[in-house]
Formats: sequence, structure tokens, C-alpha cells
Amino acid sequence: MTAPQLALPSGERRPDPTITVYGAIALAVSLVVLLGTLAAVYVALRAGTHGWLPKALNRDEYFDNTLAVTAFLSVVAGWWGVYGVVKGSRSQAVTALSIVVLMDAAFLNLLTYVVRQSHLSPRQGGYALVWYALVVAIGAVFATGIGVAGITLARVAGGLVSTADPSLAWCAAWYGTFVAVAWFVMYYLVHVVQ
Amino acid sequence: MVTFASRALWALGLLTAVAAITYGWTTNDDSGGTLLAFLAVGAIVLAVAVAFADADRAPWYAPGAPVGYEAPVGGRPSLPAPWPVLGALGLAVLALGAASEGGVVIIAGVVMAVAAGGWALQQWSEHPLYSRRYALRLRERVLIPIGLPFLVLALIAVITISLSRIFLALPENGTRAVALAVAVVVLLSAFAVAASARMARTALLLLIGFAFACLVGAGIAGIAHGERTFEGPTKPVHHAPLPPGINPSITNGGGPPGTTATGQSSQ
Repeated sequence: MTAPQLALPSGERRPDPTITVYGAIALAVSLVVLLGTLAAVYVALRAGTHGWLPKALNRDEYFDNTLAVTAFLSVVAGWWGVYGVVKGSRSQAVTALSIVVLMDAAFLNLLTYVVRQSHLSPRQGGYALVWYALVVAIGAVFATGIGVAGITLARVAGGLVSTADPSLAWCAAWYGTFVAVAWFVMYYLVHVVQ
Repeated sequence: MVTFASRALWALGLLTAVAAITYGWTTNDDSGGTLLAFLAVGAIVLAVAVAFADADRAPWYAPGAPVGYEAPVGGRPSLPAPWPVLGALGLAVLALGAASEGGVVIIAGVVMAVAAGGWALQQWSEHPLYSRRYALRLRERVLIPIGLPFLVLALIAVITISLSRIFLALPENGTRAVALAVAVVVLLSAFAVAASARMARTALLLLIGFAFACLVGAGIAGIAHGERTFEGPTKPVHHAPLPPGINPSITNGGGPPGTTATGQSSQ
């Protein structure tokens, strides 16, 4: 009886995972600067605009609080993913990163609903214009969050991110934290600074 | 050991943070302070990332991988890529264009297309199988025949448009003086370059780059200043009344000579 023929390992060059990590960090920093610019524009327009808040503005905090809870759950799941990778439990890491993708997608879904029911138009004045710019920026941030978590999920599932090299999982967790902080910046501007 | 890049970013972040606090404290302008504070946060995050960054890892190959898959030993390292910076510049111009004029959006599109093309080509050229001989052949067969005419046309357009903006912004006599000065400078520079047999290539490139930057900068200043006021003739133009019959279609509406536009006899 002959021994079973094992599949040969791929001869292709294995990619350097640190490139993805540094790419995600550079993306996070560029988004920090973008959010800072929008926050500065919000504060500047608010200081120089008479009748800053539109009269028809719906100030219901229910949906924004739900968005905040969703973002927070995504952060917790991201750090759970790091725990799973570091402890060598691939199933936990895959489950956690899947939840991150799901929560970020749910956030985007609810954000689009908030836009639809706000009845605001960018033409209605400075507040509506900056609010829309912030919503688009936050949507883009969460979309990139789905991308980073998705790449990490695929690499964890494929065994490329493991206890021996968990850097991408750390990166995904930090990036997910940044994504949530981006939402809290907008929350602070809209509901605290007003 | 903390690298120079990390120390520089730490310095940038801390100085910007101090500037944010000082600016906000002294001017009560919250927007400027906010902008500087976010810049400081970005710089400090980058400083921490650079401090913990490892050196580039050597490529890993599976045991027994074909030699053709592996990079040749001693090959040139990856070059620094200017394309991300150019892409970011294009995005910033796009944001400006969205808030100002449609023409600026087109410029942003061109800048981003150049960045994307250059980025893709650089990544392609860094493949292990990309050789100097192949690069030379590619340049002679594709890049120069296609790129050179476009580059020359773009250069001519930029120079012409920049000079025209300068001439339109200056007063009439100033236009003459500048046109004369530009012609003399071009003539003397060309003479100096032709007469100097040992001029370094770098010096020549720097000279051309400086002249081009000055010209484009002056053109942008001309656009920002706007055109001068063109005065019409101050005295009315005197001329004799048009003799009847020279242009019958106008004087009598196309009727026979000697009649008015309503068909009645002018006599």
C-alpha cells in the first residue's frame, strides 16, 4: 500500500503582513485629519451663521444612541478577535471578526435610514451641508472598517494570522476602535456642541 | 532605539499640540484650534506606529519553489513612491473643485489619473522579472512615442496659458516690458546652456524646474489678480452717413432702390 500523496505547498512568495498593517495605520491617520477638518468647519460655520440649526431639524437621539451602541459592540468584538488569535482559538477569532463585519454593516444600514428620515438637504444651510459631509465621511470610515475586518477575517480563516504572527489582528482591533471613535466625534459635534 | 522619523513626528505632533492650545487660548477661534489638535493627534499616532515598526521582512518562499518565482539576489530595493502624495494632492484639489469651479475638478481628475497610472507602473516595474533591458525596450517602443508628444503639448499649453495670464493682468506698458524681459532671459539662458560644455545635468534640471515653477506661479498670481480693465475708445467715431443704395438690403429692407423699408417711394 502506497502512502497518500500530500499536496505541495505553494511556491508563490508569501506577502508581508506588515504592509497591510502600515496601510491601515496610514488610512486611519488620514481619516483623523479629514474628521478634524470637518470638525473645524463645523465649529467655524456654527460661530458665523445666524440661525445655525434648521427649524425642521429632528433632534431625536434614539437612532444616534443606537448607532453608538452598534459601534461599541463592533469595538468589543474586534478586541475579542485579538484574544482569539493570541490564544490560538481560530474559531473564536473568526466568530468575533464576523461580528465586526456584521456590526459595521448594520451601522451603515442604520446610518442611511437616519439620513432618509432626517428630511435634511445640503441646500438648507451651513448645518445641513456640514452634517451631510460628516455623514459621508463616517460612512466611508465604516466602509473601510468593513474592509480591514474582512481582510483580517479572511487571513485568520486561512491561517495566515495566528499566534505566531498576530499583528494584523491587533491592527484590525485598533482600526475598529478608531472607526468607533470617529462616530463619537460626530456624535459629540451634533449632540453636545450642537 | 527611536528612529529619526519617529522623533521628527513626535516633535511635529507635540509642537502642533502646543500651537493648538496657544492658538485657541489667544484667539478664541475654536475651529483653528480643533484643526491643529486633530493634526497633532495624527502626527503622534504616526510617530508611535513608526517607533514600533519593524524592518522590512525578507520575502518568504516555500521550500523547493522554482527559481523563477524568487527575486534575484542583489536586486535593487523598492523605490520611494511619490504617487500616494500626488493622489492625496489630487483628492484635496477635488474637494476644492467641488466647492468652487468645475474646471478645478477636471484638473483634480487629471492629477489623480496620473497618480494612479504612475503608481500602477511603479508596482509593475518592481516585479522580480522586470529587467533593465525590458524597461529600455518598453520605454523606446511605448513610453517615448506616446508620452513625449503629450508631454510637449502639455508643456506648450502651460507656458502659453501662464504667459497670457501674466500679460492680461499687467498694465499695457508692463506687458511690453515683461514680454521683452522674458525674451531676453530665454535667449541668454539658451546661450549660456549652449556655451557651457560641462554644465551638470542636475544643475540644468534645477534651472529648468525653477524657471517653470516661477512661470506657473506668476501665471497663478495673474489668474488671482484678474485681467486689467480694457478701456474702449473715449471719443465717438465720426463718419459720414451711409449713402443710399450701397446696401439696399439694410437701408430699404430688400426693396428696389429708391423705396423705403415699407415699400413707399423715398422721393
